[in-house]
Amino acid sequence: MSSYVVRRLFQAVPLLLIITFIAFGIIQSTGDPLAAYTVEASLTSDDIARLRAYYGLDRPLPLQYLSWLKNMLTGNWGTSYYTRENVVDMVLNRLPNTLLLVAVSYALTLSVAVIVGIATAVRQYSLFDHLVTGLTFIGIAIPNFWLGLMLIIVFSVQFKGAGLPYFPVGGMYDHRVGPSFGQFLWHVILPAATLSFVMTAQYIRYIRSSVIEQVHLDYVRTARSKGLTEIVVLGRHVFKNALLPLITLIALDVPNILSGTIVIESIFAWPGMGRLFWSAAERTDIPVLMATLVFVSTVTVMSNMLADLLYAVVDPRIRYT
Amino acid sequence: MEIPHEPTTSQGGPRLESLPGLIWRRLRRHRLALVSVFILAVLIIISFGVPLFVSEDDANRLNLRAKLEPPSLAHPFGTDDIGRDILLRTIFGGRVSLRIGLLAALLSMAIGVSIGALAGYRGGWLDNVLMRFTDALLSIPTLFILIVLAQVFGRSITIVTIVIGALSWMPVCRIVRANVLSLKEREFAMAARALGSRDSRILSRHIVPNTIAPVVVAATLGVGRAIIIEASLSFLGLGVQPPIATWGSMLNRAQGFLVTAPWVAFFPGILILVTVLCVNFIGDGLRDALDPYAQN
Amino acid sequence: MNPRGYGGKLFLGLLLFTFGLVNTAALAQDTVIVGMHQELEFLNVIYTQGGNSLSASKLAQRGLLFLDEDSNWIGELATEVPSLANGGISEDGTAVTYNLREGVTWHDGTPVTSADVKATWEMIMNPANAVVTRFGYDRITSIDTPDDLTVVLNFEEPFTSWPILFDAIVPQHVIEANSPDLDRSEAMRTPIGFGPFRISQWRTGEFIEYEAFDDYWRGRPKIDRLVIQIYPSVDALMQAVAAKEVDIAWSVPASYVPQVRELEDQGIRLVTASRATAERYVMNADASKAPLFADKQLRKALHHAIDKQLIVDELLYGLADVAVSEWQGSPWQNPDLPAYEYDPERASAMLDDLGWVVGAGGIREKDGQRLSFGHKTTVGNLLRENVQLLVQQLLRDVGVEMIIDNQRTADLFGTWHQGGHWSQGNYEMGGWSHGLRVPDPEISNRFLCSEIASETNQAGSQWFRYCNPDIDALLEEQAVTLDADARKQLLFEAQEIFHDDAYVIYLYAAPLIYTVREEVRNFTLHRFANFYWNPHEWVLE
Repeated sequence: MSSYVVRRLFQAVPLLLIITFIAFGIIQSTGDPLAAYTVEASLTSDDIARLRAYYGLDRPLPLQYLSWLKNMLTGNWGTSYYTRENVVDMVLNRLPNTLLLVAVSYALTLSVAVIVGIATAVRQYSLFDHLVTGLTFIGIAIPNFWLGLMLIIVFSVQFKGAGLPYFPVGGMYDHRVGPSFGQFLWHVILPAATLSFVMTAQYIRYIRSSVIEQVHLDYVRTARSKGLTEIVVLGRHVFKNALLPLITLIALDVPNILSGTIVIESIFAWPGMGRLFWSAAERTDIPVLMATLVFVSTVTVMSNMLADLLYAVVDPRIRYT
Repeated sequence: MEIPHEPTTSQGGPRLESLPGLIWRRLRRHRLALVSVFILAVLIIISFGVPLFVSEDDANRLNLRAKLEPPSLAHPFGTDDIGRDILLRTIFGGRVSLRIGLLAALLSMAIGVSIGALAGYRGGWLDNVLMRFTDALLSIPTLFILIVLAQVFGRSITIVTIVIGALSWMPVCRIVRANVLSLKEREFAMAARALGSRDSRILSRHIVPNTIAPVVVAATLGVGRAIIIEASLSFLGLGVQPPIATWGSMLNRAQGFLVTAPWVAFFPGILILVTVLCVNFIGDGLRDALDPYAQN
Repeated sequence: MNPRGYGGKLFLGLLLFTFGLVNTAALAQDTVIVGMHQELEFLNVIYTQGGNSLSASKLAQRGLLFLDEDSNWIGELATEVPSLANGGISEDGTAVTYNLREGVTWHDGTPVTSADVKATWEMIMNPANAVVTRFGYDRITSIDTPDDLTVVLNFEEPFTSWPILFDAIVPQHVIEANSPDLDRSEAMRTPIGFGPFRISQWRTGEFIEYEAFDDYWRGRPKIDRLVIQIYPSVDALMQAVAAKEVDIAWSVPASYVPQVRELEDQGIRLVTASRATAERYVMNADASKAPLFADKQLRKALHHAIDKQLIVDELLYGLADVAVSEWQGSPWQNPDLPAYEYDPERASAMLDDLGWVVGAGGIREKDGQRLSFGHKTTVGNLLRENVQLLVQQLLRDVGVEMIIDNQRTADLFGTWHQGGHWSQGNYEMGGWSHGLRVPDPEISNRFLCSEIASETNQAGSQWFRYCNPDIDALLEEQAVTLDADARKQLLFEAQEIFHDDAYVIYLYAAPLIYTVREEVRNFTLHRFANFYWNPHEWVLE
């Protein structure tokens, strides 16, 4: 097992190298970072030449890549072309916000999916089951940004207009009040609900079908025939066997949810990594783009690895040598 | 579309029913899929039919005297902020969105099948290189890399299609590779090889037809995915050039009028939802219909 | 302990402290929240190119001069504006003397002196510092500081744009404490100044918090805190406006005007002012890139085909003026320039005369060539796109095809080396605007033949690719003319020639549009100093 872990880690290195190479190659052709300066046009020719040299933009590309790689490996991810902030700081500033959003989304997804999934499996073909099945189909087909817009129309605009309790349209807290846990909860609900909707729909379907599958297996019949109560049967046996593989599903969903944050964070003004990436992309802020890309890719590679390992742990039939 | 089937008459035994016939019979039992086929057909007929009678110029004509009008008889879906008829633009937008969705899915299927088959059949270092490349692409969350690519290559329907297609083949590739790996050791492939068939012939005549079922399902679901991806890109402002409408770009514009004119955001969104829903139902139906273990 | 770890603990502490409670301390203060839909990059005038960063910087940083209500220079740190009359400018125009105000202090309490001005100049000219522009500073040969309150700028030759220099000053003690590596120091990102507010907290991409500066020389601001809240998009900002989460919305695009007007009965009003910037469509003057536009009559025909008043009335809701000049909305705009009149029949007749006859699909043709060209502007700007679509339709109505090919800012405005479309002249018609950022008429680089970007002059900043020796002569003469009226006349003459050459279609003067809650009193918008003109006078009711 441990040699497997080591081997996987070892494989991840060239993978990440390929990723940085692809990313660097593409990003370099996304436009000129100095454009943000010439937009306002009081730059003289001297200014342009001076700034190009300062940012190293006058060097050949392979050299730029190598020096970027060298710096990155030594922990120097550069400074943003625009804010001149240390990129590591920028990422670390935004990361907690995205993690919070993602964590709440996962919590929402899991609690809803487990309860509803099991309930529909137990009451297969009931009205409730059909209703949920219909909703899950919609959940999988709905574009998340549109869902976000609709939620804003209903819960922020209409509700507020009608004098009902409403949710804020964006941000992490109201500046008149300042940050607090209550504020955070109030602000996180809509974006987290939007982000988790698709996932919840998928998980409900997954849980429903795997619980149904388990219920018909021999060991459950055995357990039932032993006279165990339904709750015990479900909780002890079915639950464990049906839901453990869910852990790997969660790990595999990490890249999807990260992609989702780009759109959701920009609709709901959530100051996280997705928005950092998007605003950097709009301005061709190369150091920030590279850092976010490498970062999310590393997270993805790690979560894939984790998924494999967890799978091995929960399913003893799989052996890694 | 002709569904190629496994070991043809030269090797196969007598057959009671053609495979397409069988699939159709099974699909027919999947009522939702059937309804979906019907709805999708209507959408396609409208999207591609109406443009035969109305020119795109007319659909995109500004009418500054009729800005942000709510749905009415004259404008069943209302008008947008520069007085364009939303119904007409939704139809023209549907044409673009559907085309991008279908072509991107086809492209990703073509790339995925070729690379997957090649890697799986050849094995060795080629397999290794191709799979590491696939892994690398899979490891960058899709939207991140799509945004960067869309910015590099610019804004036209063709380019958006290619970019989406070129970045969604990886799952298909893995399915095909895994299938090929297991199939090439099975009897009929070994037999063919023993009989002296060339590799390419074995691949195209025996192995690819056997992996077609999961690929068709994946590709169908891929259409829905591609439509959503296109909409997301357009929504972020990375789609096609104005005045061309796509559902995503209409939603991008609608963002500013959520309060005053929610209908601008409603109709294109609901059409994306319905289309993707139909595509998914059809995919599900096909999955059941193509499942070799399903009982008749 | 590093500041981030500290911030994290602080945040955690806050979380615990305010759990279930309302943060009453913040509520008791008068806080004005300004919402912006563009991220701020840098809060230092010297390091930022403009836009909202400049405005935000100006809340804390001030310079030698400021502006009065009518955009005339007045003293800020300087007691008065140097002139020939008051002896502040030497007879030969090579020395400018400022007398500094007594008793002005930095946000940290240190007095502001002439040494700070000199240190700022040295910092700007230091090659280790990547300041945005050295324009003008590089004309200074030396700075004399005979005493703490006197600064003398010495130039080799008269430099008529001297008022634009030192629009921000950085304290000498801060420069010294943070050198080397001044560029990357926090002290430069969030500098102290002597303006009405001081920066108390900045979370990039989220918000900036300012506190009233008790010792502002014009008097302490009447509000206690000012917060700039960043929204990721105009739409998000507008939703916040409707929800009254912000008091003031910065730079609302005109397409949102009807929406804001609907909010008027809820106490949200629209405040507008016109900027000294014209939105314009440029016809590439390089005949090898845009051969169609080599024909002056054709250019004029296109001018007559575009209904600028319609754009203003319908797309800008009447909140702008039709534009005519590069010096639009400034004292240097030639008041006698007529706008090209909207007259589609005349445009059609002119095109007919040129031999362009209507062919297939209603588009004119001549010798098998269609009257069709590409048009580029920046993506993602709804108003620009709407104007573009309307112009496309108006041109279509006279048989001219305009194909939209919008690009990102980073591609259009890129430098020559990175293939910037404007810089390399890779466009036929282009829509962008470069206004006057400060009340100073020096924008010759946009017209001079010598500034055309090319293989041999890659950093050239003239993108019209226009070359007219008459205009060159006039602009070179005005640059060394100290007499204000004479200078104006030269600029007027240049504008007339340029107007007749008809390479640039001026559309409208870009308006500043803000929304303000009625609870905020004394808010004014200023042509140049937009919202930072009098924030110390705002009152919250």
